[in-house]
Amino acid sequence: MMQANTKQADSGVAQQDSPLLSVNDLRVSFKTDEGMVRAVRGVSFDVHPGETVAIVGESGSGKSVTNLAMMGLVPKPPGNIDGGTAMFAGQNLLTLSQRRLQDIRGRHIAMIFQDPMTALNPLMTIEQQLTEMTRLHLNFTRHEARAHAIEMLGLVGITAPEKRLRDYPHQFSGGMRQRVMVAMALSCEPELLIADEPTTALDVTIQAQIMELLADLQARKGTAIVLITHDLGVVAGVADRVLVMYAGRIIEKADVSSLFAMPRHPYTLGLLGSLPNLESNRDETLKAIPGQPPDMSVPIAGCAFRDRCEYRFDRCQSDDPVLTPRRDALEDGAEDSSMHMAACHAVDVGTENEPR
Amino acid sequence: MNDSSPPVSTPPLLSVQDLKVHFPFRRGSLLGAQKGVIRAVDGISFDIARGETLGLVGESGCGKSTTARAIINLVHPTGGDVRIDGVPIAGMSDAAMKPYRRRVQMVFQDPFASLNPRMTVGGIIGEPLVVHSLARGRDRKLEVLRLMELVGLNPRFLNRYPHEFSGGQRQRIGIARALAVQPDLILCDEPVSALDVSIQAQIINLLMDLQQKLGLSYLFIAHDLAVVRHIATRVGVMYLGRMVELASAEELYAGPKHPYTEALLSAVPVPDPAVAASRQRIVLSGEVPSPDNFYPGCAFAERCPVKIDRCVSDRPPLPDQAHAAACWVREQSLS
Ligand SMILES: Nc1ncnc2c1ncn2[C@@H]1O[C@H](COP(=O)(O)OP(=O)(O)OP(=O)(O)O)[C@@H](O)[C@H]1O
Ligand SMILES: Nc1ncnc2c1ncn2[C@@H]1O[C@H](COP(=O)(O)OP(=O)(O)OP(=O)(O)O)[C@@H](O)[C@H]1O
Ligand SMILES: [Mg+2]
Ligand SMILES: [Mg+2]
Repeated sequence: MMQANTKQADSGVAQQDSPLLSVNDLRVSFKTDEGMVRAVRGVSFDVHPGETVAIVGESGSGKSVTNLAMMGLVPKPPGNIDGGTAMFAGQNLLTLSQRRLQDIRGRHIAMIFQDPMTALNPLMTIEQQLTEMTRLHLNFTRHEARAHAIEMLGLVGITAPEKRLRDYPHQFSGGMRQRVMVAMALSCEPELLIADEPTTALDVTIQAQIMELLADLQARKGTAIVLITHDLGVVAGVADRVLVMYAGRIIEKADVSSLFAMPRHPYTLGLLGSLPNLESNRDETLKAIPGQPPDMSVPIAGCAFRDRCEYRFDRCQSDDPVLTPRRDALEDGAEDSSMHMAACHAVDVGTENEPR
Repeated sequence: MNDSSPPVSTPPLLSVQDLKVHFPFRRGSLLGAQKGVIRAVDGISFDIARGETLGLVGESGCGKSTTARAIINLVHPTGGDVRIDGVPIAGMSDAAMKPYRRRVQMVFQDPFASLNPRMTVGGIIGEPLVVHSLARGRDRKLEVLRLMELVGLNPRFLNRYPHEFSGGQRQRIGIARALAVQPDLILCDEPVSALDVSIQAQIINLLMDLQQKLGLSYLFIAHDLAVVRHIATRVGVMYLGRMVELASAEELYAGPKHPYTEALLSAVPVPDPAVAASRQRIVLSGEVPSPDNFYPGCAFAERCPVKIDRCVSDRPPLPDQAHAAACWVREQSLS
């Protein structure tokens, strides 16, 4: 009963198709007592049918807000979309009416929320919540919807699902609630699935089962997945491409094997260097990136990471680095979205860092 | 010192004996009401000594959070005994509980649901200082600011509300709050699950540092086995309400005895795409047991690759030894 991990590193397959989702220069801010918090400061990326794009990065760097903005779920006020587009199937999600968005949400784009209580209503039973979407979008009868709910709960590993349909969310464990959200998101087999930390409360065996479920949907329906996670092990196992975020920006993007083999941005290097592993022990302190992320309510000049960066030099203070491909890649003449790019002056100058 | 009395062995800081938490349920259905109990925690025992970290891992829904909640009386145990410094605390009055409530703090699993949405961060972190009359006025504010800095939250956000923070920022609010009253024991329920690995490293280093300096103890519930390996002195593995293996961290990771522990360790994702593609994990098959059924034998038997007849009928005990597994097949001292 042994099984190889779900996905091998064959990126680039889906690259020829036109993107399913194309985000361009997205900017989001929040009005707070301390001033304007610029949570997302110009984020651009594409997602193609059938591919898995992982977003990793600093806590508070704007990963959730980026995706909530696309779904029309940033509260306004205090939030505001300051600019940018998010094209999905020919329409800009950022300017659609709430009514049109509601038709798309759940049916064509589904989201697994980081906060289970954004998705789950504490006053409704699991059954009510799981059947709502399929009755609305797929016109299921009550009976069909119930049978489907039981099937979905079984697939996410809830035992004796028929007995637990009438439970309320508080009667479920943290990981069980998370799996109910996964079941809800997968119910209508969406073309795009946004999964914000979908397995944080799951043990590794159930996590593997959930990741296989996503891979299966992807294989059958060509679903594209945006996976936000801090778990770099999961990223290594399932992602095709990776975006690394820091202080409201994407500071590195690459296909998964080249990101792990040749991380370029000093923040990415620090992140990979902070990982504990199964051999590490209590005597060694874990390496953390020194310092704190910048205050997002103050405008940032130059590179947002510079104060914590050991490779910084004069230019980092004044010039805002932009995503640039590796120079050798440029010389090869290749130019597409799978290219390894980093926003760092130091790597541009040729202080290329050796991977650890 | 002239100490002529025989050495009394001091009781462990926390001692949990045969703890049971059953949730009764009755559900109306068209076919008539069903009654039963969910055996969330079904007889588990362990100690935590001063300055020690017990890691607790296991399948989602196996009863880890319920165990922690029962220790601080947030759910009432159906049976068994919880002692702090040898004093049983189950059924204690609120007034008698108060000092223990300060000494034992909890970091809750869900950073979104566990913070009062109507209080500012300053209020949330400072609340335990008010409840236990530990600091007031300016001192309290300074202490709150110090705690925020300690967990890497910008002190400028003192007057923000929880919804204005990201998931990982909220999780750190919960940690700062637990640290506020200088507890002896912190029950950490998935305390770093929403943190990127660099901040996770900062928090883990902080917890271990406080342990060194102040002799703090932790019950550390987590699904990230590499994190547990790093922070725990001993590790307990739970399966369906029971403790199936308990050992020092080194021994557990080097040589797991229980087949469930083995399966769990084989499924840890590796942060290296080349390794991830070639790795084999043990996939468990067979009926997944349900906490509302009663299993006279080992609850894992249905899915176990090495089970024998006895496993279905007799419940294997967890022997009282340094590295113990509740398994008729693998535990030498049982077979
Ligand atoms: N309603 C709000 N008001 C003010 N600031 C907010 C609000 N919501 C989010 N923010 C801020 O926006 C920034 C980005 O938050 P976001 O939730 O996107 O982070 P994240 O990358 O998902 O982090 P995590 O990994 O911790 O979940 C954070 O600094 C957060 O404090
Ligand atoms: N208040 C409650 N009423 C009924 N059942 C409950 C209640 N609280 C928990 N349970 C059940 O008890 C079992 C154990 O739940 P618990 O939250 O302790 O699991 P856990 O090990 O913490 O899981 P996770 O890793 O998913 O957080 C689950 O089957 C859960 O549904
Ligand atoms: Mg988030
Ligand atoms: Mg739990």
